[in-house]
Amino acid sequence: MMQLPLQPDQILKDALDFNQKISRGMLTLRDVGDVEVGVTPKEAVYREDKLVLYRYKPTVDKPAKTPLLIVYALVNRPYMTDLQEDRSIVRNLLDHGEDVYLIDWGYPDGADRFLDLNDYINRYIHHCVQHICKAHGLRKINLLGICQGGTFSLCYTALHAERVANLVTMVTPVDFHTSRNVLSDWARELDVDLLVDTVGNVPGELLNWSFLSLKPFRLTGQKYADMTDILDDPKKLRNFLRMEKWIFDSPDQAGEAFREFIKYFYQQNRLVTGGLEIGGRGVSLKQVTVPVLNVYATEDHLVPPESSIALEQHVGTRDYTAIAFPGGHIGIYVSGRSQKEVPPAIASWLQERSN
Amino acid sequence: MTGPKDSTDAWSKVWLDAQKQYMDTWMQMSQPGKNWPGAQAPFGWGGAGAWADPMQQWTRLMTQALPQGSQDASTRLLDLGKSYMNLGETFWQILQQGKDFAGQETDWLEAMKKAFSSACSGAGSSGQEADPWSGFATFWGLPMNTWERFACSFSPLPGALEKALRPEGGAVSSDMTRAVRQMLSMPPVGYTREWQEQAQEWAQLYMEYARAMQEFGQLLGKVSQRAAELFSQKVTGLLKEGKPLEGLRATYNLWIDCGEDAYAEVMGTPDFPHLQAQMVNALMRLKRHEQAMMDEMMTALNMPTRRELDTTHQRVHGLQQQLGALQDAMENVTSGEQQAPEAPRAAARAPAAVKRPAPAKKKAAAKPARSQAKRRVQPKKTRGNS
Repeated sequence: MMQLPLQPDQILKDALDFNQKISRGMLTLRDVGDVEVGVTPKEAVYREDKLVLYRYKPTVDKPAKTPLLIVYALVNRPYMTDLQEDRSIVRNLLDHGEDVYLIDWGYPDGADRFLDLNDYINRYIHHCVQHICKAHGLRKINLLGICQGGTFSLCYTALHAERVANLVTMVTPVDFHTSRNVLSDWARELDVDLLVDTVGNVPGELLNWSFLSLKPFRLTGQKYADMTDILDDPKKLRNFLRMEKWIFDSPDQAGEAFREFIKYFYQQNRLVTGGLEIGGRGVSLKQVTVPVLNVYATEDHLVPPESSIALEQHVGTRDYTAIAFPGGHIGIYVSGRSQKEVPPAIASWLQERSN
Repeated sequence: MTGPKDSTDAWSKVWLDAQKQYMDTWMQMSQPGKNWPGAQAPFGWGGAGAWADPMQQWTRLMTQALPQGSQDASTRLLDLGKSYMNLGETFWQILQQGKDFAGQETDWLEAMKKAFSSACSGAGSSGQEADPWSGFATFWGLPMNTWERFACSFSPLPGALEKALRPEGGAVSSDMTRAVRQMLSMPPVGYTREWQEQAQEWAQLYMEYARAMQEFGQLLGKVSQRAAELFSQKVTGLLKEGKPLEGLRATYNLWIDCGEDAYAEVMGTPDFPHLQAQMVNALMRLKRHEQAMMDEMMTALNMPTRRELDTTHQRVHGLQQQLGALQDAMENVTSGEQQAPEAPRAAARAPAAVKRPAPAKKKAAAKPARSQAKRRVQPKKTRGNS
């Protein structure tokens, strides 16, 4: 008799089980209700256009003298840093004595189409820093830039060194032309002028399409097969739904800022090769002379580790520390290991440099 | 008295029972001596999708009763369910044929490989030109579907135009191409010649986009073919080692691994970014032209155009930057800060040759809480327009 890799009736049994899991799971999905994100108490302390600057309520009696401003990417929403109570970089930083602020960029619309990198870096970030400095009677504060927000923070620090005490970058692209940088490869032949001139703001859905296209089978297929295993567990299901909400909550990108970011960084790699100007002023990583902590993820498929590690070769500081986190671009925000290791390491590094 | 929740629970139970009955009937078809009668399936469903379709119909109804936050995830779950059940059904049919196979094992393995490849490549499309949506796209309905939705979202023309123009299951046909080319070769004359020129240019750009999309789709089609090859190789390898697959889920996971490996191979070729960018750029050229045509129509109707709105936004943005600079200057004056040129320019010209300590991977325990900062939290302050 022919040896088969699997008996046909086994497939039928599994298919029925699968169907029933989904059928029962729909009831759990009905019962879990809407999920909440961004759980740590916070207060809006400054607004400009669609930007909101939040200050999180400190959880220790005497938080750090120098506040820490989190600058998140324009892509996706910053509540990833505070997804839920037990998965919150913000919460962990607060518990380790930091006084945490965060910029929420909001959702750009057609009226924001001409916002450029000068607006984001020299206006928005600068005004937030100025506000915090004033509020605390300080000349400089600490910055934590995440992903694209890390690149912005490097540019900001280069341009406004007098305002930054210490800089932490997390999963931040620096050299956009390292090997295995798939997004960079995809952007090379893109006619970004034509794209922005045509669509104005770049739809979040287009960016999502790009990210999902990096691993389409896993990210649009297998992930949901795995979801069937937790359909009868409301707690795990809620965690899954929170992550889903974040992944597909993609704001449109202000057209001019997108044009400049793709052209100057992804296509021309000016942060490393030189010639970058923002708001008419030259930006060089050599201008970054404040202490720098660079945290990168070894399995990052969006920002390859090599792209982040390159910072050490180009940055002007004498005080450079790198931390390699064994995980991916998303895991570094939310994994259990990350919660135990990353925020404490950041807080500890900052405290060692506090006056 | 029963509420909507009880009602859905009861309906769910009925559904689960029906599902079991449905699959039991299929199970009977698996018994020795029962032959799989081709496209004929119990309860009138047949061919690819017979397993997935009933579940889809029921769960789509259920989705409407879900809270907003769960609806998107459940839709994606259903899409997965469809792919999963289609894979199960395809593999079941292949195995069912193998069960009664009387020939050599190697012949059956070869037959399995062909059957799987055929399923992956969207067998059934009979157009002369390859369908850009076949294979990779139809078996999984993944990235190209998302792209299609995006492509439709900016067009003043019907969203599914591309699909509407091609014959069922096929690519944009030669006849269609010929007809468009004929239209393009007509010389523009008379009072409406400018409009005719624009329409011809639109058709030209559309054909370029269709070709670019087809080329990218064909490249993605190679992923399915390669994935099918890898899958067959791995199944054969497992059989030789005497390790059967542990069920449909293990089969699915193996297929995912093969799919990602195949995709990575194709994605790593220079063709991938080139053809992908070519498709995006072609779509943008087409849409840019459509916008220009729309602007002309709007102008004729004395309505505001996209171009005018852009001009207005650009002016507002310029004014906002000027205002911001003035505000900053005033604040600097009032706070006693000097507006001296900031250091960066000078620093950029004088790169520091520094010696850094080796990267440290220290993990110091958090220090105890520190002294209270003298905070002077300002009242909420707002700039610009929200």
